[in-house]
Amino acid sequence: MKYTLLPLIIILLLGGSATAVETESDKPSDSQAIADNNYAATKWHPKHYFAIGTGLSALASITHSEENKSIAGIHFYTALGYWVFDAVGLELGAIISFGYFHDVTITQYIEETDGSLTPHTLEDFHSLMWDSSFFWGVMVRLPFTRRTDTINLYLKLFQGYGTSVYWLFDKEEEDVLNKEATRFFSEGVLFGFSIGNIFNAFNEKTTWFLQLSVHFKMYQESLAIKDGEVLPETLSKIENRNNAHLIQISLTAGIRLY
Amino acid sequence: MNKKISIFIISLLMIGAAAESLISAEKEVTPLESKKFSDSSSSEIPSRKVFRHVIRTDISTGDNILNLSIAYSVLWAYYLGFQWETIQEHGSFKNWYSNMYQPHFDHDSYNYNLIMHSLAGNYYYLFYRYRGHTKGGALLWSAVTQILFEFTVETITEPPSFQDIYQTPILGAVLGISLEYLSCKLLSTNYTAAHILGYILNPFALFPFASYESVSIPVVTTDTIGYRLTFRF
Repeated sequence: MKYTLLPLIIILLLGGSATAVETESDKPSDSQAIADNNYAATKWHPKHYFAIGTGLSALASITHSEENKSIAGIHFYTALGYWVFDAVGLELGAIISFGYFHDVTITQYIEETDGSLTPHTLEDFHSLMWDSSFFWGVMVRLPFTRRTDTINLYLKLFQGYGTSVYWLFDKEEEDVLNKEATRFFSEGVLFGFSIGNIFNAFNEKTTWFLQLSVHFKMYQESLAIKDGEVLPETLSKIENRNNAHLIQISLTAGIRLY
Repeated sequence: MNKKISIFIISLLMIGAAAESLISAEKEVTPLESKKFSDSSSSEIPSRKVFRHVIRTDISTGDNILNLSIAYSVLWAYYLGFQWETIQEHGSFKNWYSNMYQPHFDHDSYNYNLIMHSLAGNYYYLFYRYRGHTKGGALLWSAVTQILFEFTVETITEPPSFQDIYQTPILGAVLGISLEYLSCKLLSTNYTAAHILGYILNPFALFPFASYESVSIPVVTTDTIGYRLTFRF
């Protein structure tokens, strides 16, 4: 828990220092500059905001023995935020992404009669992945930068929970994986950060942003899922025994919807 | 199921066509529609028709309760009507109250989680816009509606889903904002086909007492001379 709180404390301190920059420049001759630099007074953060975006993601699915990288896929980004204390934004958001893996290697652990686990490796799969990452985050504008129409840098730390759904192709009959399964579902906690820039925050043009995000998802368990007639059925549940996790890098371009 | 969808689409087309004839009839009696703006020398200033949303500033708590009740009733009717087979196979009264306390990340496929729920959220959003809410207000009430659906309706067959709680109102609002914008653009034209499509995209614009209006706005160019009289208190 303390490791989770640490980034939050750091980011809050950064937010405070960003406010301090404005206070230091509080001179009569700089009154216009103060008004222009008052981030909270811009179009971007009048209390609440709704941002959407899209872009490309690169994903890597990693275990202690294997690393599978995806072909860059598309993602959709949404975030609802509330700007407080003139420096910090609290966000609730999601990144929904798609990726394609080729030559995927999967290691399963099969329980023997004596209770020991034997690794069983399956190779040369093709897989389409649909990933949903839900997060809450804290966003601060970067301190010590003079904000203009083109430079409004911000940093965001976030954590949450997410799911990854893998559709496997070229699955053979003799595979150990459950033959009836149509997809494999992994879920786990995630944490990450974003750095971005807001454009047209002060003028009348459409406000938009560019954002680079990196996040890690630690899988806790994986399930084999079969499409039921009405509801999906869980065929088997496998605990994460080989430190399976996902790393995603996303470049997003988006707008503030309102 | 496909038959029902076909009937639904045909119904929308018929409603669109009927509405078009109603709007055409209204054009003759709406002063703003037919009026050309004139200056003192009787030379006409051209105007353009704009179909737009109107935000209601007088929405009371009673209105909010009424709106939510309508949406909630429609959801119950939809669920009992269209999900009857699911309810018979997987539903029970015990599920209904015990599932409320077991929200989880569901294992549905993307066609449900991303497409069907976004479409449903789009209609929530458009309904609240029709009732006069701002974009933010419509999103907020869509979220409330979806939470009620997840925790008190769908629990008959399955526990509440975190993905649905987030994605339905959020992706629905994104879709709703886009479709409403497109619909208003189409309804601002003078083409019948565009009007029908506009009403298909936003059927709530057809409903009585909708918070939408069609107005004529004078097209003012740089070579136009005018006068403005203002008072300041």
